[in-house]
This record gives sequence, structure tokens and C-alpha cells, in this order.
Amino acid sequence: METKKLMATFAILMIALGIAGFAYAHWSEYLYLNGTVNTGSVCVEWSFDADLPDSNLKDLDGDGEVDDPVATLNVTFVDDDDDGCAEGLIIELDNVYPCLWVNGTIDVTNCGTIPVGIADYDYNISDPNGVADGIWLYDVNFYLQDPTGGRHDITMPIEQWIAQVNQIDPGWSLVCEFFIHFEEDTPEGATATIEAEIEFWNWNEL
Amino acid sequence: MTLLKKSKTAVPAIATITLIVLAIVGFTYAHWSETLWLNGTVNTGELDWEFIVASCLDVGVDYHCNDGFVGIPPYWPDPEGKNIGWQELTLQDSDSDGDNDTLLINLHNVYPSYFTEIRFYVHNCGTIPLKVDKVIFRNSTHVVGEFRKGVPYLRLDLNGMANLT
Repeated sequence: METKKLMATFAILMIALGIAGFAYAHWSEYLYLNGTVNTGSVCVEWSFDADLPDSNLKDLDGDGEVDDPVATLNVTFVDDDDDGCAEGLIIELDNVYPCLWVNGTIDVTNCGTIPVGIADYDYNISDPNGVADGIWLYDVNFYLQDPTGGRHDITMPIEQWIAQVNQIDPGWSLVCEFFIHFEEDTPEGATATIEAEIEFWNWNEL
Repeated sequence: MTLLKKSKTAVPAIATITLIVLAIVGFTYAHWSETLWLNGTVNTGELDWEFIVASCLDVGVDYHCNDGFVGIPPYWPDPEGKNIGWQELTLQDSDSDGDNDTLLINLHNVYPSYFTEIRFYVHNCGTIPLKVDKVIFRNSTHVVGEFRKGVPYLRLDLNGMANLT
């Protein structure tokens, strides 16, 4: 009897161990998947280039050299988030006088990796003395510039382009080419300021 | 046991749904964006000039000249040292902008062939260069002469006009 009991116990133990062994020592093989998502970036920056005419230079300091500017144009780029792109642009045009003209370009370059578009813009002008009344926008053109410098004219009004196209691809620029002239009725000793903001989104959500 | 099973499946389901909803909401409101800003200022200059120094030849002894400044010398001091006529020069700031824009010349007790000379300096107190376009002589009612080039000699008939402005 003792022998039977002992054998039964042994058999149960073997079965239990077998089951446990089956549970822990099954054959197996693993599959591995490594996934990486690299997101793009929305990045835009200002560029500005403008000239005052040579007639703006005089010999103001009497050194015999006609190299002193009467009106001055100062441009400052501001990189708010230290990403290497200028989000801010400060333009100061001082000591302006009648018949002065300024020509140049102001553009927004897509320095990111996905296309962007203009989501919103706003501006505020302070001009208590009517300086703007003396400014003649002789010529203002918008065009797109590709990364190789190629020019692609925007043949529709810019408001229509924003409503219908509104896409600046990576490396491309939206350029505004201007030629302005200060007329004879430009007020003396006056100041006018403009503050503007343009918000850009990834193009597919516009 | 049933409640436990339900709760075991319900909690992850709710969490999953919440995450999906949040993702959708986040997708909707968290588009990528960047804002450019621009501050532009235009300051216009000022054309302004002023008289700063004025002086005259007659500071005591009178001077005389021939009619039409003929002869050499064109003018000379009174040989007897007489001091009959004199001038009064006054710089005025007529528009109260801090600049003397008016030179008031008063000739007192002058007489035929009395001669004097008025000199003055002008200073560009504005911010841009200027050129003299013309010299305008006016009396109290009208312009009596304009000169754009040459030396502006003006013959003034003083009959009845003691003050010229």
C-alpha cells in the first residue's frame, strides 16, 4: 500500500513537472519591429534688401567725400527662439525727405521641411501726421523664388493667391518687390510706424 | 467576477478612447505654426534754417555812396565823422520753434546817399541739406523783388516807407 501511494505521488509529481516543463520550455521565436518617426518642421524667416539712391549721399562732414547719407535705412533681424532663422524684422527709415525713393525686396523664406501657407495676418499702423499720404507705391510685385533663384511671377492679386494657392515649398521664398517714392506733400518732422504679424501653418491644414 | 472582467476591459477601453479623442483634438488645435513679426518706422526729416549772426557796416560813423554805387570807391565813411543814421537789427522767432527765422532791419534817420551794409549768417538747423532757391524782398504789402542768381541789388524808394520787412 505504501508502495502504491509512493508511486502515485511520484506519478503526480512527474505529471506536474511535465506540465510545468511544457509551460516554460515551449519552443518559441520572436519577431522584432523597430519603428522611427521623424517629424518635419515649420520654419519661416524674413529677408530684406533695399537701397537708397546715390543722390542721398552728400558731403555732410566736409571731408571732400560725397559719402554721407542724408536719409538712413537700418534693418535688424531678430531670432526670437535661437533657431537660426529671423522671425522678427525691424526696419527704421530715418530723416526721410521729399523725392526720396527706396527700392528693394522683402521676402519670407520657408526654412523648414514641409510646405507652409499664410494662416492669418494682422497689422497696425500709427500715422498721426499722414506720412503714408506722401508715399507713392510706384511699383509692388509679388513672386515666388525657387531654391536656385528662379523667379516665378504671381500673376494674380496677392489676396487671391493667399485664398487659392497659399503654398511656399521648402527652400522657396515669397518675395515682395517694391519701389516707393516720398512725394512733395510728405510732412516734415513726422513719424509713422507699422506693426505687423503673419502666422504660417503647415500648408495641408489651411 | 463579471464585474472584474468588465472593469478589466472597460478601463483600457476608456483610456484608449480618451487618447484617441485627445489625439484628434490635439491634431485639430495643435497644427504647427510660426509667426513672423515686423516693426517698421519712418521718421521724416526737417527743412529748417535760422539767422544766427547779423551785423552792419554802420556802427558809428555814417557811410556815403554815389547814386547807383558809381565811382571808386563805391562807398566811404563820412569825412567829418558824423553819426546821423543808424540801424537796428533784431533776430526774431516768429513761429516760436526755437529758431530765429526773421531778421528785422530798421534803418533810423537815414538820408539820401546814406550807405550801409547788412551781413548775416544763416545756419541749417534742420536735418537735411538745403539750397537757397531765391531771395525775396517784400514790404508790408507785396513782393518788391526776387533774385535767383547774381548779387541782389535792390533800389528801395524810401518815400513814405520808414520800415521795410
